[in-house]
Amino acid sequence: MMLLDLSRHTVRRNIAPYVGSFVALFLGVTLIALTVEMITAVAEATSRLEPGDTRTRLQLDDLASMFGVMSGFSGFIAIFVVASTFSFVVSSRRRELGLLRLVGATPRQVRRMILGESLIVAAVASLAGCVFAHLITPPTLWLAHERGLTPMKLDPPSFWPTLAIAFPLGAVVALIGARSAARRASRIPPVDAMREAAVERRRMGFWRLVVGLLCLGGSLTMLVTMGAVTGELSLVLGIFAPEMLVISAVCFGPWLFPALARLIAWPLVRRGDVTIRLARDNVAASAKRTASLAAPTLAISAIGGSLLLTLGIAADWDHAINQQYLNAPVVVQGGERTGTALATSPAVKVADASASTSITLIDREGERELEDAQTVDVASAVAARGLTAVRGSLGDLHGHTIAMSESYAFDSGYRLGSTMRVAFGHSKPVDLKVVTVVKSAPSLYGDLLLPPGLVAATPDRWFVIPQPGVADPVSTINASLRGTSGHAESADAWLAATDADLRKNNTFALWVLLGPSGFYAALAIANTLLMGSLQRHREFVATRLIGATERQVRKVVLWESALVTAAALAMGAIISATVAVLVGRSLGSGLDGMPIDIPWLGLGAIGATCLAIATVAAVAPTTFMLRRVHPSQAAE
Amino acid sequence: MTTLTDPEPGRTTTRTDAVVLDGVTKTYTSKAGKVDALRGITHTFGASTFTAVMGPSGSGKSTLLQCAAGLDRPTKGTVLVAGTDLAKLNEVELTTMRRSTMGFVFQSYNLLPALTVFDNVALPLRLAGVRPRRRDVLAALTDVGLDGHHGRRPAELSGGQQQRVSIARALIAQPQVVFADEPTGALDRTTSHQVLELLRRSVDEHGHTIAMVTHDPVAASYAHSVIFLEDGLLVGHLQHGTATQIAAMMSELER
Repeated sequence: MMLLDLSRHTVRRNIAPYVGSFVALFLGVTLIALTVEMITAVAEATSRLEPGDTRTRLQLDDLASMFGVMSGFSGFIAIFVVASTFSFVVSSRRRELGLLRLVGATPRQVRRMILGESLIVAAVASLAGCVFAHLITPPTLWLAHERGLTPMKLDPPSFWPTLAIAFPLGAVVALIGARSAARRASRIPPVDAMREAAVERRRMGFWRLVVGLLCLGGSLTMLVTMGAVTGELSLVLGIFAPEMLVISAVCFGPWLFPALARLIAWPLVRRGDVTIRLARDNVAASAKRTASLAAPTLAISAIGGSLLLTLGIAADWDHAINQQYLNAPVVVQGGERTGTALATSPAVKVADASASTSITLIDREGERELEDAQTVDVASAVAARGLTAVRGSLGDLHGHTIAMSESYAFDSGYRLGSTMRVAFGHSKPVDLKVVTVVKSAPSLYGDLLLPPGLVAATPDRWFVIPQPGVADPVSTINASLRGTSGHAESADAWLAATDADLRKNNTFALWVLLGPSGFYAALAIANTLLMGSLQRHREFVATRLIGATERQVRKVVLWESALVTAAALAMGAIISATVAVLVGRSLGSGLDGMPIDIPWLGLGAIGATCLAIATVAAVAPTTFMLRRVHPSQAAE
Repeated sequence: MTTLTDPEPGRTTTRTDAVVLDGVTKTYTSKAGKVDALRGITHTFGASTFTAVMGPSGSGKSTLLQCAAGLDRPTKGTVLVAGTDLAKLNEVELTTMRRSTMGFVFQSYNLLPALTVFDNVALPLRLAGVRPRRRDVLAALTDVGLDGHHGRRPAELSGGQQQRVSIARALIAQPQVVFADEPTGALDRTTSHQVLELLRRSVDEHGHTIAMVTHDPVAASYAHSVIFLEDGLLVGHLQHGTATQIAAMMSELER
């Protein structure tokens, strides 16, 4: 009780170092709370939906899970950011904490005091974040609808789910973040109360070592698995492996980042001036500060970079698969009468119709889930779309049966011979037997294939093989489609358009998933650097006293932040590249060739933004401080 | 029963010995090699004595104080505080021991800016899990001449006043020994005089024990005895010396 009382006092009087933590947590909780509000809004809209409106329902479901992933990323980044701000609070109060130890506080008491302080800050920041998120939800919903993200205008949801979910989540994020700082604080020896400057020791805590090794082991297992498996499992691992690698890199940060920074500085120091040398020594000597500064940059660059690469490779893979399996040289899109026109056209040999529909899967617990499916005519699909069975036989796809893609089977756990309970629209559920598993080609025929006649579906796309000898089949078929809504194009044109469409969707998804957490990370990097610079007031003054010009001090700071950021980006690049190479190898195996299109522009933008933010955030406060100090102050 | 003056080394411990150092050696190992900060110091700080520890910079004064207070562990030798061998205690036991038997006063007063004067003084008791009695804390403040200042924050006090608060804090738990590191280093002559008088009075009137590191002969002259350190060795001591005598001894050493 007494300690909480002390915590309350110390927070109130030492508000300055906690402002950084408050800002970091407030923004993080705002982001999480905003996604919770969106999910609630989507859920409330879904519950008001007409039961038959399956398409909108499907769209809203997708939206909710996307927001879920987005809040996951935000929470993950927030933990790192908040942790590094708390560790600054501890290092700036080293003497004070040493004094507490000297006058009789046990390590446990110091740890509890720091945790108590963090909890107070966390409670206020989380509440503020929730309220702020609730206030900005209406404009966000409006914007989401305006940008075409939501199929309809969503109403602002009630506040209670946000408070019940985001508020405790904020406290958890703060506690995870404060844990290691508090632990470190409890290890400050009492003799530090008598020291002017303490040398940071790089001894690693037991739990840090354990967590670091576990995550390293876990991510290496994932990477090895990615190297061994083929197909989409590696895509899933490619999404999770970077997070694990980031955690382990952060655990080993006090060794890793100074060493990397030294390596990067090496060629520069050899012919550079004194400021680079000084910057390198500062970065290497204050290992913990370097690690704290590098963590948010690493998190966003590794996750952003690998997601960008993985999604890009997934698109490359989709394109390569389509190119390999699509045999039909002409693709027609259109409405009901288009099918009839194609059937009667003399130029057409095979018109393979693709008719999509939505079906409701019912699992053993009676849980219902909407899925997209297509009805196919096996013979024409084999001819036009290269439909290939991996297990089972395509010939069995008739009556009450269903076929699924390899990746869907892997994800859902259904096997050859299992029974799926399916409902079409309002009709009574039927049991369908899984008779074949086919190669995955999401753009060509989706994940679930039904035999014709099971459900009425209107075709909207035909993969057409013309009669041999027809010159210029696209124009010929277009001519026979006159009077219908149908339009024919060459397979290459369709492939290119599909590819462009997919990449556009990917870019959009990236913005939605990473945009907010990227923005948050940017603010956080600036926040952390600001805290770091403000702490070094005395040091800057002392450097001025021994004869450094203002310009030199600024240059030292500039080099320092450039070195730290470069070290973090280098690590981020290594993680992203490793993941990308493995995902690419594993997806590409079994294909004739998969040209990879590396999104240099996006990757470059991530790196450049991190560097720019770091530079401005480090130099601005330094300039401000230097303007107000005089070397004589160092003597005080 | 021993006398209050500096006892001869090597004799057996009695209840009236606050701190006993026996062959204390401290060697720091760094990349540059080994540095001997203390080279076999044997000395007893008797109960209810005021001892000044003097010596040129780098002579090992601060290391001596830190080893005696259990803030640093000697490489060799033993330290007994109130009859307890510090080497046998772990970090938590050492902390508990420190808060019940030792007090600290520093050059920079080291008060918690967040707490009032009252709370600063009461802090060691609270950390020990004892509910401080208001009467005791106010009495401790009266003893150091700070009547009516208990509600202020450290920032609202002068340097001398802050140092007196830290003395009250050091004495509140009735410690066996108070360690002072240059307590007047940041104060002017008049304020220094007040603070040193206060320390001396706490020994003479209340029977406290003080070990004070200083480089100022005037400050050292308030102590009952002065011991001199050079290169980690005990090189001399002086009973009831005047500032002039102490200064002469110092210049001898520094020559």
